Amino acid sequence: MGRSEEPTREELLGLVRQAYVSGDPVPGGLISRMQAAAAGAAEESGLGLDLELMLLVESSSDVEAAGVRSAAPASARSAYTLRFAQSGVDVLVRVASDTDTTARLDGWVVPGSPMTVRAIRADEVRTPIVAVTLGASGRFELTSLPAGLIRLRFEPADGSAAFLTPTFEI
Amino acid sequence: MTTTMARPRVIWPRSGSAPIRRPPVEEGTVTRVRRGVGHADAPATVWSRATADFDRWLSGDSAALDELVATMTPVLWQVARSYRLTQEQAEDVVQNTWLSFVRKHSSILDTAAVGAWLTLTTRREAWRVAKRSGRDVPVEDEALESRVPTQRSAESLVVEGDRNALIWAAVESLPERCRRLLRVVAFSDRPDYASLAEELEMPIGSIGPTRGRCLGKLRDALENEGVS
Repeated sequence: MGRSEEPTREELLGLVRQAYVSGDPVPGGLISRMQAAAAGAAEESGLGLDLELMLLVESSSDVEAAGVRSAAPASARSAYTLRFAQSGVDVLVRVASDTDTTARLDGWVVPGSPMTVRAIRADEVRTPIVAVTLGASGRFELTSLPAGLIRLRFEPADGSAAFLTPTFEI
Repeated sequence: MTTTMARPRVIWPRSGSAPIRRPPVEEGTVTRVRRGVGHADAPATVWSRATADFDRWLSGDSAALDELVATMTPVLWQVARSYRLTQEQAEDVVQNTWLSFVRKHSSILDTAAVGAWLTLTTRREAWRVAKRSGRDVPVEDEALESRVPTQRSAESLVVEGDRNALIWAAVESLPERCRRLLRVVAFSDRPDYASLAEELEMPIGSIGPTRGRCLGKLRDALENEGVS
């Protein structure tokens, strides 16, 4: 900022940050203490361990016999169904084209319980993680997902270990 | 005046640059500290880095939690210290935020909101602790309007001409309500005015004008300090 020009709001807030970061810095060791605390809590919740990886137990296509990692673009298929299972939890997912470039997922978790479902990109496509919560019905839907590789992550609301599906193409 | 002891501890850097501290590595702890994370970084960088860390953690990279903590802890420290907490109290508040985060991360559906979630959680907890200690409401502006520069403990440590020191002096010369408001706003991702209004015991409609007035005071104070 120049003497002749008034500093903008953002510049002033930047100066406030600068003042406090220098004048009241994070105490030494605080970051590593917080890392230890967070890691300890994560371990307690079973999050420190590897996620439970679900197995693909079944896949079928409504139109053609497309494999999970079929080379055919998602838009060329009309719909297919995947079933994952692990530790007594079954997940059925129907993948269908939404538009030319996006897909929708209709899912059913059995047994149903309140949880958060996230669609996580497994490729280089940088799109936000999409999430929904589902109730005791176990039903969920995720729409307008850009085509590509994704995994689904299920986080039970009771804090028990999260499940992660293998990568599949939508 | 009781506020004196709660004001930020002054550790003045010798040079003009912000200190980038490498915390000592504790035995048995995996520490990942990134290049000056969260320090004078543009806040937008911090929020997007936090989101990227959170995304990676959700994808199964358990080390990404360490990185998220390293990214956000310096910011959360500043937020907690805005509430006139002691260092110990502020550390407890930041730690509780991380414990809550680990337990409740599933409720953060939009991972882009992780920075906002962490700063708001810290603010609510810091405010709760401040209330318990009877430090919740900043004294009225008017009472401190005439606060004189003699209170600037930084001054004795100031290297003459140090720009950072002058900025600090300007910020510290502001009324307490202004300092709290500007510090919270400066270190928060889209701070919500409703909780700010509650914490500062001000009508929600006056938060915006007060912020403008405080920035004006800061502009004047900087001019008085000769910061250009």
